[in-house]
Amino acid sequence: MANPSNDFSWAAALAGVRNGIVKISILLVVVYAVISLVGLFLEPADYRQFPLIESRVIIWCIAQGHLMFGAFVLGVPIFVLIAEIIGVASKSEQYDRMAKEFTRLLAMSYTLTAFLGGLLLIGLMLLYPRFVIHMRTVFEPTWFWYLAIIFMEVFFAYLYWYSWDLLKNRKGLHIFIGVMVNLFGLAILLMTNAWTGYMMTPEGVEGRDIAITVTDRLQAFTNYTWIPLNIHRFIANVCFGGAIVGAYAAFRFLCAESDEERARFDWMGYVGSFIAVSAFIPLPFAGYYFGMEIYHYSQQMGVSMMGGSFAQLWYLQAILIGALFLGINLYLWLGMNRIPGGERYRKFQIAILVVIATGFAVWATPHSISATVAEMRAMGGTHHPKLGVLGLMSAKNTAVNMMILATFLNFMLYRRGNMVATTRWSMAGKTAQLVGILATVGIVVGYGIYGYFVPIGVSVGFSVYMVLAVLGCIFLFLLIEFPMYKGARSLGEIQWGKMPERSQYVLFFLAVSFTWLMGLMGYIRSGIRQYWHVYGVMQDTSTGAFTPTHGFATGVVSVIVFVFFLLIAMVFALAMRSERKEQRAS
Amino acid sequence: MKRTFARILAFVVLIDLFFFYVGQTLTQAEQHPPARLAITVDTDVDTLVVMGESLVKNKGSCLICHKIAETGNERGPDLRGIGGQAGSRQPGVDAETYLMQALSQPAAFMVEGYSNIMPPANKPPVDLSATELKAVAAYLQSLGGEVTVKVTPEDESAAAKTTEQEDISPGLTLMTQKACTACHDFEGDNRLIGPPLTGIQERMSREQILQAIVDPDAIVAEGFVSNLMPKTYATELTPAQVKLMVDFLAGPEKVGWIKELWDHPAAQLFFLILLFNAGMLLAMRWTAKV
Repeated sequence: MANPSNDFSWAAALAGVRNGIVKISILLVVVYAVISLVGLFLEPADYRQFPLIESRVIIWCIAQGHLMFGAFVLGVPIFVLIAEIIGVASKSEQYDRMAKEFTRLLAMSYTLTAFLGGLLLIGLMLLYPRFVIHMRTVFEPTWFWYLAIIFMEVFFAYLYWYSWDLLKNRKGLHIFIGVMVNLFGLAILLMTNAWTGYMMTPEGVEGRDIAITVTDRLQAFTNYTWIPLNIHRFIANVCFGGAIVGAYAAFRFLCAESDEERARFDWMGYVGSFIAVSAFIPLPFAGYYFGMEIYHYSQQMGVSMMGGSFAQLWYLQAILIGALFLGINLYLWLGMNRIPGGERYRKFQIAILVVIATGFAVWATPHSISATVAEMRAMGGTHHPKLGVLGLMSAKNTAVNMMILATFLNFMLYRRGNMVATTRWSMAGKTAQLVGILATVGIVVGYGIYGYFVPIGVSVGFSVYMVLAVLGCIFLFLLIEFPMYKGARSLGEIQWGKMPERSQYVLFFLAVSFTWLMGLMGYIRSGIRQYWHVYGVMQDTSTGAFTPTHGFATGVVSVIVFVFFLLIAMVFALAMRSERKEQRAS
Repeated sequence: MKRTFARILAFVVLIDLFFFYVGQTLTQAEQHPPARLAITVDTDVDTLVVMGESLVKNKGSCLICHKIAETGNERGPDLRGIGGQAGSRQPGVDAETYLMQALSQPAAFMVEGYSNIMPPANKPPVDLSATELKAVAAYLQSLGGEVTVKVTPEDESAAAKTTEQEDISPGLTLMTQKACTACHDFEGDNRLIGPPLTGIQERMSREQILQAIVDPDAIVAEGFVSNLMPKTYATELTPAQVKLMVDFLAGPEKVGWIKELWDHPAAQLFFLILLFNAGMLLAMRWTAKV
């Protein structure tokens, strides 16, 4: 994608958009031609084997890669648009420049997303033809609209980029184009989630395998997990997008040649991580809602996910989430060093660390331990005699809510770093905030303990009260915080760029952990269908229809993450080159 | 810059490997889909019980919710001693009938204190065949009771049918589900309660077949009486279901060449490519003029 600022004319902008349309057209024609031509030479079959690598593994890798780039290109435009709107509202060129910088990353990512999507389609059509017949029976009428929406998304996304400088004096129109990018992006999300959700929780069909009757296509589309999947993926996309742009900023910070450049990318890294953290806080709640709906659809599927063969992967998830919480808080603490006045809040770091580390330890404590016979004899079963109680949901819900609350408080302290509240009621406000926090801690811990004295069916319901208490506390805290610090006295400007290099590696750590988490959770979500392509409707009878060992599965996730970072490094390098070219041109 | 890039890459690989390592420390086991067990009328009671136990522990995933030992899950009733209790759970229902009902219609009778969370074992995803259900019932009876369950030839043929039914056309599957086959012969010329439907497409048009389904008494075939076929299909079935039935009986709908062409994915793809590329060219020409 060329730079938009080299030629400020509509002709040049539309030429850029046309290139995007031509590119997606060629890709679709190539995909169609490959499927049709290769299909001519192949014998009819229900499944075909990919050479050397198992068909299932190759499809898994391509699908997850496509999903990661898809999440990135759908997540980033959301906060790009918000940054642009903030820039216009606050008349800050800094926000506008950052929004444009983020958009620069999208150009190559769109191409990679489309390329991987094309590969996925070819792979499914050639390796899993019978499954495609099933999906075609249910969803074929939606495919035309999906392609039309892809074209619209490409059109608006390229127009958004190429008209950035052209419309700098007509921001309203440019923002409108940004809204359209997001609307079509959302439509893509809704459509693909319908297919994915249907595979997990099918509805609206009767019969089995390919002998099915579509009794209600709308019901198949808006299946049981469609809404929770939409919510979960929407938030996760923003979170993931934030983490990746944070990594890009860290990369640029480490490559910076001047203090000014370092300051710019330090700020951008902070914004990226802020977006990731803001979206990360509600993510466990969205995940909980998603899990709850899976249970409502099928207890068996839910129990397989949480207590069956996939249960052990949740320890890995706990380690990932614990590591993310630690990473986020470490970044904030390192960032406080560049804030004049930030040292006032250093004393709270130990307490916050204790809460996070304890929460991490509780969350990662398994209920049933895989142990040798001798160890089990010594413990008197698969449950540890003392620590086993921490493996129950009551303890885990308490831990995650406390970690979220502690991280939120740490961020609030970071925000207050160089500010001194001057409002007359600030003392009362802070007291009210403290009371709110203590009350929330009381509710969360109280329900956590009470959960041990009631049947499991009742204690599971307590998590709703815990979540509501934490969300309510955050809401009330902010409700007091903003007016309380309005017109606050500043202790000095934030020294952007004065961050140790290790802080930038924390941003990379967050990006890799988020990507890993996405790969792992994607595997669990898909894996709980076990030997069903479409749960309970179409059985997977291929040679790959088994749940692999956790070691193998995490190995595949590891390879996917590594390849993703190689590709995203290419995106970063191209974006940097494009920016430097633009600077030279101007 | 190259050094920075190499350092970052090494750091990313290190984190990636750490999480990979954690994955290797977990319990490692593959889970394969359960095979359908070959259970026949000749299978002796002891083997039936062993097979039933295997089904309970593996394919049935029953122990996710029930327990058969001191430790185990309690989402569903404790199965210890169920063989002795089954005969007295419901008045007038013997142990075998109770167990078969509990497996295939779990909501029909709920043990006090438990909610209706069990999927019917004879339906997907558990999907036990008729003979497998008998094996599970035999195993459950063996838990504190006397095994009376026996596999019958009917169970055997029902189990064989379950494995075969996947390749039947969706229209016929639906008509079988709606019990159309009870009154109509689909394969021969037998006059049952309703007229035979073999070769119906040569005698009636699509429209007439459609009318015969949704308003069966509008035209009654010669030699048959009216008011026998239910008139509820118009409301009971969705339009998509009715279309499937009609497609099965009359053959696929003949459509005009335009629709036939449009239904081809290549035509739709070509249309979109043409629309967007031509649109872009027009927009560019227009801006060049302006």
